[in-house]
Amino acid sequence: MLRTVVAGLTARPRQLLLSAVAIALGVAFVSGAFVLSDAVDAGLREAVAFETRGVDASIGRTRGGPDLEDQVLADVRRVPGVAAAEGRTTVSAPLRDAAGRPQDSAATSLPADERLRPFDLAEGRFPDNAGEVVMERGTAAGHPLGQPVTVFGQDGRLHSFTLVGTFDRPAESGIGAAPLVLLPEALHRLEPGAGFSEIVARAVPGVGQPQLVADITRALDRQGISVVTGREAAAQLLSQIAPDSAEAAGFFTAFAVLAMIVAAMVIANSFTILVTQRTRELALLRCVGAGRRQVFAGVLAEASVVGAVASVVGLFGGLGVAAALQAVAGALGGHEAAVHVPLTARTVVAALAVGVLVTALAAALPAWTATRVAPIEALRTPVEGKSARAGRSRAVSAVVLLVVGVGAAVFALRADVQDGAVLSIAAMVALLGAMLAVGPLVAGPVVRTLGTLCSPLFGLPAKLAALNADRNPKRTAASAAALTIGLAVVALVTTVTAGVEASRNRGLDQQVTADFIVTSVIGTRPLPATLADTLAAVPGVAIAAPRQSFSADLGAHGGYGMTAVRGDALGSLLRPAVLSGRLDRLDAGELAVSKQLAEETGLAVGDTVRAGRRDSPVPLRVVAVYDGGRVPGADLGLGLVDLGQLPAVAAEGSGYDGSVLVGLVAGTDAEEVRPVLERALSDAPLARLNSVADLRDQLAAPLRSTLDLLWALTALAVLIAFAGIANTLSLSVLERTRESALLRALGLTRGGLRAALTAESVFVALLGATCGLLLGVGSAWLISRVASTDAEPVLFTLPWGRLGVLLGAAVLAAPLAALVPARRAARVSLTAGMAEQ
Amino acid sequence: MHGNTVDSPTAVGVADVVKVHGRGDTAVRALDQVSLDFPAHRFTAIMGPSGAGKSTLVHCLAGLDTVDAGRVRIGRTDLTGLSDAALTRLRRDRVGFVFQSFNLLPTITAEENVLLGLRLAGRRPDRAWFDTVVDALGLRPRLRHKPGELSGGQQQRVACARALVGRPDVVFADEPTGSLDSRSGAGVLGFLRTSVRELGQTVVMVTHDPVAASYADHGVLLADGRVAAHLPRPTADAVLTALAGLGA
Ligand SMILES: Nc1ncnc2c1ncn2[C@@H]1O[C@H](COP(=O)(O)OP(=O)(O)OP(=O)(O)O)[C@@H](O)[C@H]1O
Ligand SMILES: [Mg+2]
Repeated sequence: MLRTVVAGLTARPRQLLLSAVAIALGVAFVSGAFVLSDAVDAGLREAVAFETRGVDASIGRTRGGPDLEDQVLADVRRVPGVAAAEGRTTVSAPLRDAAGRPQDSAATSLPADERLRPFDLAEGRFPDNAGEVVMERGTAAGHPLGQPVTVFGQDGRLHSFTLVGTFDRPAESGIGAAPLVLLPEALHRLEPGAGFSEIVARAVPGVGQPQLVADITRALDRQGISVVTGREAAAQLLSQIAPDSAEAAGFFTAFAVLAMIVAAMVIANSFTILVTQRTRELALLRCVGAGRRQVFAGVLAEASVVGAVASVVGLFGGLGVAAALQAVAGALGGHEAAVHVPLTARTVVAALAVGVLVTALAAALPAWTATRVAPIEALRTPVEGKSARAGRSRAVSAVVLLVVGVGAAVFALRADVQDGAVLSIAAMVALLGAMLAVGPLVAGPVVRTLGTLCSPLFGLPAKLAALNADRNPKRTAASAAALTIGLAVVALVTTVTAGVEASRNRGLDQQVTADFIVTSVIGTRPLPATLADTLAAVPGVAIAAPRQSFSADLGAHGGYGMTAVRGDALGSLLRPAVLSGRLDRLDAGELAVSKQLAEETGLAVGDTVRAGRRDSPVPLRVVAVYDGGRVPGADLGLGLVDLGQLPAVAAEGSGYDGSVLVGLVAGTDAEEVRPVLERALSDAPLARLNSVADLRDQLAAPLRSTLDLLWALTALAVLIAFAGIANTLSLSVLERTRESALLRALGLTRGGLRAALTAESVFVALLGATCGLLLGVGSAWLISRVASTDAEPVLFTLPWGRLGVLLGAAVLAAPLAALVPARRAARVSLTAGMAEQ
Repeated sequence: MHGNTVDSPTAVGVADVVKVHGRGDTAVRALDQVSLDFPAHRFTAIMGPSGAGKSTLVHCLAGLDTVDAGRVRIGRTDLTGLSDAALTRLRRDRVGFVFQSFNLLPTITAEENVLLGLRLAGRRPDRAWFDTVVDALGLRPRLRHKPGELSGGQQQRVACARALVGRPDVVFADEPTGSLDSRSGAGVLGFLRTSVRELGQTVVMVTHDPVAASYADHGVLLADGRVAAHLPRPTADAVLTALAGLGA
């Protein structure tokens, strides 16, 4: 039997190779997803290890404890077991770019002890004196070595340092040193009062970490100070970011499961075809005396060998895929990403399980069927005639799943967020199941309809394509299903993120009608008082009004974060949704309260609040209740008053986040006015000009990188699905060699044959893509309904553009998938094709 | 064109045709300087031992394969040097073919199979002619069936109908009865003869079977890629004798 197994393997090299490719691709996909998920973790661990390298003890401040000052550092340094100790602190230090505009940045001090530095020198040298600075390599782009770098201090004054070097450090999840490193004296100049957030110590040789911690604890002997070992500090740091990383890892794992399903479908489809094609061969074996079990075991052995070999190839391919994706994501993010390819037992087991088990199963089912029928019958009946028509049990299960899915969806809409999430996932899975179950039932009619619709345009090839796709609806449905799953996930992700993005922008879109917002890079440093007038004088500007956040004293109601804005800005620059009252302008003595404040205090339109200092309170009359979102530089806070009222109601020195809102004359091109506005800002070095479009980008930025990676990953799923279509098509082309030759003999041109196969691929892709998009968009609708809360509403918007791109890409990729099989089919010589068995 | 004429002009012909299969050591000279003319409105049988080059010859004649040397002609058209597209057009407009087996697309009905060639050519079927052919072959009750539901003989008759329904200049049949029992075979052969005698078609048939050859007006004997003999009005006995003379 072994000999016939080997003979079987070598007899159809092309079919076998195609199936092996399908397996390898699928396994690569699965292992790639798992490796990525492990890589997130590995990257974090590496960043934490880097940040805490050399640290044997970490001294921190517990809540309410004293500041870690120079004295504490000096005390630590005197402890006998301490070889070196360094204070760590990070201060905000906006940079001035080449154009003279401020950019957000931060600075930290250079540890004197080389082994306690959480960064490596890349170029140049570290600072020798307080006039020098080194920068993180990516941040340093555009700043040549040896040239001055200008940094804003917390007081708003400019400090100049000479750039003497650059350094490297991992930058995962915000761990890692600030992008600027200065000597402690220089840092002190930027922010005079800053204490240390942490003191790290290194032990002398021979002193263990617990010993060092005990010594330091005894020596400091102060309340409110905690001392932990370096290992514990690393663990703490990791646990702080762990929720994020767990989320990321969970997402990748979910994706890996998706990968497994898509891969399993592609593999199963391809191997099913392979064994079905050999049904006659198996029957012949049985006719010449092979036992049922022998034949079955032979097929299984063959499948396992192929599965194992292809899986190993795929496993290592997956490592490459993961590495490439990380590099691509890094390149998209504009930085050189660290590439991790950890290969864990989980990855190996999952990859081999998918590769070998799915292959064996996919082979076993048709082989089982083949050995069930009487051998002579299998020899006589053409394989075609037995093309499995979908049965009634399929229809029943589809209906049951549909009912379950719809039911779960209905309950999800009524349930709270937690239960709703579980229910909506159940609903999505059930609906997907229903779609997969119903696939073979609808595949035939759908492709026939498509064929009929297309045949006036494309003639006979469209008709032939429909016939071929309809010939084995189960197979057609299975190759479409891989695409359905892939596209459903892409559509789901795209639609949900579009909804989240729209919700985030909603505040901006709904309440801000200004064209530009000028903010200060140092929130506590106000913009010049005259700035609004200066900007108002710029040609093209219709109105420029200052606004400011502050802590208001609302007398008996307590203190609240509120906003003061020039009264005439309302209605022209800011237009929050008014729930009651009127808010076309705001005068002295008037107050508008947010929905939240109204709910918390019970204030309503017409009420009067006594605000400000107890000795001389100011009466404020509530004129409106509004609903507003958070927008940087245009935040409405919990309440609104006229700017003139500010001194009377604000707590002493509580003003922050001042901004100037700028509205242009209707019909003016914002990009034309921009340079003029920039010039007008030259006297206000801290001022940063943002257009509304800039703000929209900034709001979307945190989502963008996640979205890019998501797209890259799901695009891969779709790619695999197309490889599956190409594979199925290639196998059916091989299967239909005689038929193609017959058609050609009867007068079908080469081009006609190619067109028929291309149309077949397009039909399958259309079927899969449409189902996938419908399912994905439907699920997105459900999720946005379920996840939406008053505090964080998730809108449901259809990103037509992106969905259109997806559908278009699917339909355009289909001819590509058909390219190779179609060419091969058209090239086969007629006489050779007819001779094929 | 399809009328019976007394002096039959040649419908198809080959002159000095050479066809070599394979290359180098495994090269086989399947046709070696073959020159033959097949008269129009006649039923010609090509016979010969296995491996003589019969299939190769009809493949070349029908434009399914190209020759290495010599000329192939259908009517006034010289096939040698025609492009693939031109050959395809010629096959669908002027040639009918019946293969030994696997003549039909399994996905479509018998009727659709009969009309497949016309549809590929984008031609409208001549209904009267279609009915004549279908009735002559006794296929009427089977038109709605898929090939899988037809017997082998019925399948071959469907293939014959397909070959004839486009009124081609010539019909080639490569062992059309090879896989049929003698009764089904007789039905197919009888129809081919009728189509020549009564419908004015031209048929060239390859066969092993001396009885099948006896249906033809004229026999050609091939051996080792050459024409070995001509047998006018072949009878089964005459064919057997001739084949025995070749040592087959
Ligand atoms: N594709 C091919 N490659 C190599 N040799 C071939 C090929 N096709 C045919 N031959 C050889 O060419 C010769 C003629 O073959 P052909 O099929 O024409 O014979 P035939 O007369 O039809 O035989 P049969 O009666 O057995 O069908 C044979 O020797 C055969 O081995
Ligand atoms: Mg032959």
